[in-house]
Amino acid sequence: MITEEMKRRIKVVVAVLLVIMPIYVTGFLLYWSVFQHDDMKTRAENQQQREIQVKADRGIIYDRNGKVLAQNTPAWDIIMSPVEIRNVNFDKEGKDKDRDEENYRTERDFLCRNIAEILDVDMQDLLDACAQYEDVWDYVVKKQVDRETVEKIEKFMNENRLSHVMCYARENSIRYYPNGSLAAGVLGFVGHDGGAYGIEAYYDKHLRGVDGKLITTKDQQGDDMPYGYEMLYDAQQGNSLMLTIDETLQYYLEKNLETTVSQHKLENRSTGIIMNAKTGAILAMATYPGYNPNDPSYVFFEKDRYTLAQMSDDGATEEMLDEARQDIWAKQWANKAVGEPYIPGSVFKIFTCAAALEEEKVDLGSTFLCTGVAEVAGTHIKCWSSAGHGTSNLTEAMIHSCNPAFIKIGQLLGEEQFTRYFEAFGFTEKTGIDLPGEADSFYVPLSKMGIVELSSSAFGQTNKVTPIQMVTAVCAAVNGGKLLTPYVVDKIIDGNGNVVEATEPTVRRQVISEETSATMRRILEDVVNFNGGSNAYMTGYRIGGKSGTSEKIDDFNNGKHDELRYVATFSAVVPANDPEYVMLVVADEPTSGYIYGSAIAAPVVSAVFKESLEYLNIYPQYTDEELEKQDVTVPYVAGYNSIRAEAMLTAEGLQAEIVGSTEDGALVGGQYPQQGTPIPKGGKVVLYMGEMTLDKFELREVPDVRGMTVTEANKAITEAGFNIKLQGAFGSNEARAVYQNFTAGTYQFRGEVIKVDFLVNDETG
Amino acid sequence: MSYNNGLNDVLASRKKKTPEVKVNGPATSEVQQQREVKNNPPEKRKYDHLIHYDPGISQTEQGDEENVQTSESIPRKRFRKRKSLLEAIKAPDAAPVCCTYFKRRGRVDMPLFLAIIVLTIFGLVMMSSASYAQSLFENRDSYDFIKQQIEGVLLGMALMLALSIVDYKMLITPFTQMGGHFKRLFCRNFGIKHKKVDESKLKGNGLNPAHILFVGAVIVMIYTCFFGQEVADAKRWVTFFGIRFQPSEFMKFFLIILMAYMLNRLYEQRKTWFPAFSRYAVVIIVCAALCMAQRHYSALVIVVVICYAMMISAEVSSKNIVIFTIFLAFVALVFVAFFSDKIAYIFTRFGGWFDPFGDTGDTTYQTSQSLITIGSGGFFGRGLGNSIMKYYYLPEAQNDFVFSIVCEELGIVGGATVVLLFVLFGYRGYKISKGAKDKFGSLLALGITVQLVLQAFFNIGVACNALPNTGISLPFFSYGRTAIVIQLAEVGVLLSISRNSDT
Repeated sequence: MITEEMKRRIKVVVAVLLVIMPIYVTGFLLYWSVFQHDDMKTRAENQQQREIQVKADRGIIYDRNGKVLAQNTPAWDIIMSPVEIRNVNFDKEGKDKDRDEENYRTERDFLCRNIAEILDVDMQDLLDACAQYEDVWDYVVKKQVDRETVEKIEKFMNENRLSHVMCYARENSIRYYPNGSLAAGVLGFVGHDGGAYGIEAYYDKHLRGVDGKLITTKDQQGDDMPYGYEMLYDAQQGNSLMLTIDETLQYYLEKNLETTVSQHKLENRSTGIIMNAKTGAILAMATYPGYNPNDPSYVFFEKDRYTLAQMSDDGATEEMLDEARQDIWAKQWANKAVGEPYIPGSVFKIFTCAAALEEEKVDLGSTFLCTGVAEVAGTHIKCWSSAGHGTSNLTEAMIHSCNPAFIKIGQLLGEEQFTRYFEAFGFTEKTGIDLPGEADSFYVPLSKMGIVELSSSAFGQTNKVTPIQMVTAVCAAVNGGKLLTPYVVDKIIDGNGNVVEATEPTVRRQVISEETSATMRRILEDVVNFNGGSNAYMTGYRIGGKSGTSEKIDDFNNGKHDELRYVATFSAVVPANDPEYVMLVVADEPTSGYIYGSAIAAPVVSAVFKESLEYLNIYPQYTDEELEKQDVTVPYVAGYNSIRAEAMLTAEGLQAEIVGSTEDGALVGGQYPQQGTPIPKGGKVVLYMGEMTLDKFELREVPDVRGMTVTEANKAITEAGFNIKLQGAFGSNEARAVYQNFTAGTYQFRGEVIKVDFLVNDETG
Repeated sequence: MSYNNGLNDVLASRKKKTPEVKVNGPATSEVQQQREVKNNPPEKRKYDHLIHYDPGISQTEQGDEENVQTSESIPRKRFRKRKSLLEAIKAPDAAPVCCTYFKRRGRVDMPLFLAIIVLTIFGLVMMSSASYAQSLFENRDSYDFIKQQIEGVLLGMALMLALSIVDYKMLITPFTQMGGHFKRLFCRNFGIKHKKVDESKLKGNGLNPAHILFVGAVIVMIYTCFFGQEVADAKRWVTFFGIRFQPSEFMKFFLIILMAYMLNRLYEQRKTWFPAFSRYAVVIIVCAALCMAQRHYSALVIVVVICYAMMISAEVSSKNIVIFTIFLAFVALVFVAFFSDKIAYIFTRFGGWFDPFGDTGDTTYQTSQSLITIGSGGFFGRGLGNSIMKYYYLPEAQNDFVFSIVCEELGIVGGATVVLLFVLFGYRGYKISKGAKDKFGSLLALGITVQLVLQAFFNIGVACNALPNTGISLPFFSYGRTAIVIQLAEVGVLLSISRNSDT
């Protein structure tokens, strides 16, 4: 029988158990369940909801005609999951831990070794990543691989029956530049987190778009859940850009810059800009050698590759090589046209001249005396021509690029006026072009300017300005005095094709009057036309221009180079009477023996214009005399008798030279040049009578005409039995042949058209 | 048992008609009732043939023999002629056996029975929801866990009913008298006449099931310490005949039986060290040491608390208890001093208790996830089956943290319901314990009640961070076949006691 005492005690024990415990526990339950509900709910959502980034497509970059300059192309990232590799190969519930561990190691090593082999990465990196099997779910093994590699990985995984959760490919898009290195300096490229250089960087905000996201409820292992919900925020495609750059013009410019770089062995690249003189739109902007934005880290400039190889051979350490490579990359990725100030040299005389005309310090009738050297405050400043130019008027001073004359003009202007115009032409401020990395110019401010600085500045040998400042200022000098803001992006277009933003030409200020500008146009045209046509002269076109050759005196003084190096530049305006386009070519550090801008940069301008002006709807207007010199096409005369054939050639303005007997009504069996070949008017076509095959045609030795004047070269070639095609500055008396398309001493068919380039190798023009 | 409401009345009246032979003195109220019965003999009713079937009803302790004797005097000639059970069943007017079962010695405690049914079914439903994901993950079958659990519940229910039939005193009947005991049991249940058994022998000493069960459990525990399966650096699990279980579950139950037995037998010497308290101390220390060896500290706490509850209730001298407590505390201190490195994780758990979101340690992670689970449920929860946290966020969702899933899916309403059900269970256990007719039954009922309710509140306490994290399962809810079988068996014993108890 249980006692009353027992009953009492049981009551106490149970009271503790059934009253105190439940109240205590329920208190906590209430606290967490009700009072902490919101906090806990947030925590739960935070860990249950996964956000998946939906990457927005990057905007496309078009040229002004809608041709694609930069687009997206699918690529894949190869992802490896250390956690999954562990999970798949390590059975946690298994009894034999050691065996599992062993199994896991074998599988991991096998996987890593093969993946590393396929992707050409370091296996150790993969193993290190696998060591973090606690929390690393996706480790990016390699980014942006192509489909072929993805297929290789898939094949390997399938063949070995490996779970795809361990290693898989994730689609990602890659920026692709269909034209390779074309306009690379302007376009830039895309790094891992957006645009890195050029337009890609400057307009990154627009191009990038808005990444979307997919919010889903996931279980702890990241899989979808039966009762979860999904919410998708669409990605917003990046805006596309329509540039002012013309792909075709850009191509012509880069092609000719490339020629110059190899021909004149430029040590420090060349750059060229073509700008619309009326709006400030940049039609072409090139730096050569640039780089290929599809593979930006490849060293593009042969000379740089050579330097690196040399360093490697000399036993340079990896760090030194790395440092050198960094420098080279920084240089090749930078846009020289906006980022590298240079000493403008004689091209700057345009502004000294314009300022003096505007301030009426000089007029077209003013005369200047040049003795070959000018003395300014005890310093002797030489003219490029040591003999001096004697007395010349303003236009002649510009034509001869006479330094003493411009020293005088500068002094007439005075420090204050000169500085004012220097500033007015925009040389003290950035142009505001929509490209990153625009550099500041270096100039002597008014406070520090003395007579010596003024004198040297007047012919452009002191201050350093960027090419884009230069071309903008030239525009202002010839377009009626309006200083424009240059721009490369014409329109920003959204994903639906609507124009979001269109760039309007901006006139920053009126620098000189329309009259002064007209005078400048005349002077510049005279410069190019001087003496029958300088190196930039083109038959049928009205071109104005000014060359410049500056000494890189600063590099010489600070010991960067042992010898004095030069910058050869040329700035051209077309058409000279009503400028549409302004072009600037800067050839930095030529080492071919030529130094003059007129000799190096002017032919580039001329070549580009020759190829592109008709494309730009500027057609030549020939005088009768010029028409006489036009090429004609050789007609097909074989099969006719000699008289008929000769008559046909004469009708085209050509001469016939008959080889073989014309008797018995023999017919023309062969002709050289062949039909369809362009040949200068008055050229000779060799006609072979009777049955003829090509191997029986006569051969003649090509003479060496380099260094000859036009007359001499003409005589030599004609006498050798060839036709001559004159190219370059053949109109000038000073011109010398610098290049012939067939090497001297080789044998060519009689009647072959030999192209000879002529160049005026001085600062004239 | 609503279908025999009419029968109940009859039974009640039959009880009163039965002449009482009180061994330990009658209660006044019962005497009065007898008088009333004498004055108002009941009418013959529809179910009288059933009543005739009863071999005698006893509400007294160890008074069955007398009842059998007296029942012979009651005219029931028709049945007396029957020689065997077979003939009784064949008889067209034979009563269903169940009627006899429920009638004998009074009914089982209905509220308790209902509470257990509700708890078990509720537990099954919630376990099914909570285990869905984990089961799919481990066995590729969402219903694998619940199938196993249902097996356990069915087996456990059968065992529960069986044990509730069996006289709980059988657990402490010496084996020498087992035969007579079974014969008595059999005859009593099926209305067969049997000889009177000598009562003094029943109270005798000797090896009894309680000893064997406890020693068996201890041996398995020791075996487990050496050859058990190591899970999380502790060997608590063992596999016999393909069944994997925690022997500590058995040990707790058998310890309760043994303690109740000893406390009952040594009641008179309850104030002494020898032979009484020393024996209790040995048993407690053995169990505690085994739990310690398995690094099963939650089981240790429960074992000690149960034993204390039973000793206090059995009027063991407070002085002895206090001295023993001091001794235990000293041992614990020594243990901490010597094995501080091995039990360092306990301190980390205490640290995690105060700052559940502090760091992402293993146990802190469990607790923090459990709190997030409970907290995200709010008042009414996400709805049954809609738990998100069970998708591998909350570890052991089907096991130690099934309560959190209840709160997430059904809100605090569901959680409070579980708490209330356990309180109800505890209350009925208390009533049974208090009303039991003998000390053994009372202490056994108390022990079982304390064990299950304590375990439940410990589990809930851990889930809502009221207590530091420890691996303890929620009775009737948590996944575990062996556990639910044992829990239901314990309830079976409790029901058996309730038949003899004034509830």
